[in-house]
Amino acid sequence: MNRNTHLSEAALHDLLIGLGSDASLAHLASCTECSRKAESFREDMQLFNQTTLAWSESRSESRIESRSESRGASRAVRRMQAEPARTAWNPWTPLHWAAAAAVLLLAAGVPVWQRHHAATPMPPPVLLAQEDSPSQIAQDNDLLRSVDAALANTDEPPLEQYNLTRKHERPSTHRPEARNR
Amino acid sequence: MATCPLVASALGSFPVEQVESSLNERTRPISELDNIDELVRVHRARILRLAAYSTGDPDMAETIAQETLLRAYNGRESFRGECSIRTWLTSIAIKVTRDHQRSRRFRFWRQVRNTAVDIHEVASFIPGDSASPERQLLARERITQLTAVLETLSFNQRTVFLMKFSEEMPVDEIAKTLGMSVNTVRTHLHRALQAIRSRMGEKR
Repeated sequence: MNRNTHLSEAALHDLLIGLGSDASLAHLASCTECSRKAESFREDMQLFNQTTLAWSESRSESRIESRSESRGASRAVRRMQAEPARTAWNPWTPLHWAAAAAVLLLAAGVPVWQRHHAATPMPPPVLLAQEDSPSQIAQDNDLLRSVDAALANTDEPPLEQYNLTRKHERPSTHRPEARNR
Repeated sequence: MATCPLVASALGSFPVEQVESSLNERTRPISELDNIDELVRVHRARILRLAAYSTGDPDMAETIAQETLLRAYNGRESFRGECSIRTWLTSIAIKVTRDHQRSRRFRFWRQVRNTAVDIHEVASFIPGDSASPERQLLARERITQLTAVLETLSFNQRTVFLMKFSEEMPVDEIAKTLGMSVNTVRTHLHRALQAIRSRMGEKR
């Protein structure tokens, strides 16, 4: 290898990963082109490492801070929880309970009382359907009769044509009922 | 960095008997491993970075970093000091990452969510120094390109690459940690370098 023939990519990569041969190292020391390539990669990696470490340090710091904050908060909570234990007898506590119960009773009772004693009249029930007139009923009955007649005049079904009947079928006696009121 | 022969045992689930027996014959000097807060303060960021870029999922990386440090702390008695704590922790982090990647839950959430590392967020941490706005812009572009190419690599290529060029581990140590031959590690590194250097080009 001399100054005219540069390091192959594989030889350069071996150098970068620390497995370069002595000949490659000697070439690198004397060849500006190859040493520039190696230096360019090292600078990129240095920049990458510095930046990504700063990024992960900032994430870690924020995590540690939030952890210590939550530790501080939990310590404060524990202190608050321990507070009533230190004051063995607090004369106001039963009064507080009584006041809280009264407020709850009022909150629940007032709407119930209002509902029972409300003076507002109930609205009339909504009619879902209006009753039909006698003429309308007669018209409907005519229509049903004509449908009945039309069904009776249809051709014989193939089963009956050959005197065959289904066992589970009985001759239908059902007819649409006339509406009567 | 010295090679750690205990890496394999450290990667296990730390059987209780092993820890208890080693408690009786303690040879390990008291170190940062005995102080969980110190362990977190010194090593968390590095483990988080490795896990985040290895999995491509910063949220998952948080879990992996936490689990790694907890495992290390719980199994600290199995650490004999034959390699650096950093190497030992890296080995555990790789093991935990692999476990998470194999789990069905990980695969499911990977499909459901798309929480890749936010390149723009990372790029905002480029060291400012006294660089000109042009240099800052160029640096941002390089970081963005490198991160994008890393995402296209296979898990093994990416992990080996990060272990070599971010964690600065020697090739033989990477091979031992991952249970691969040196030649396999070398091949992964060559492929990763090929992809990264060809797609990024050289600095203008």
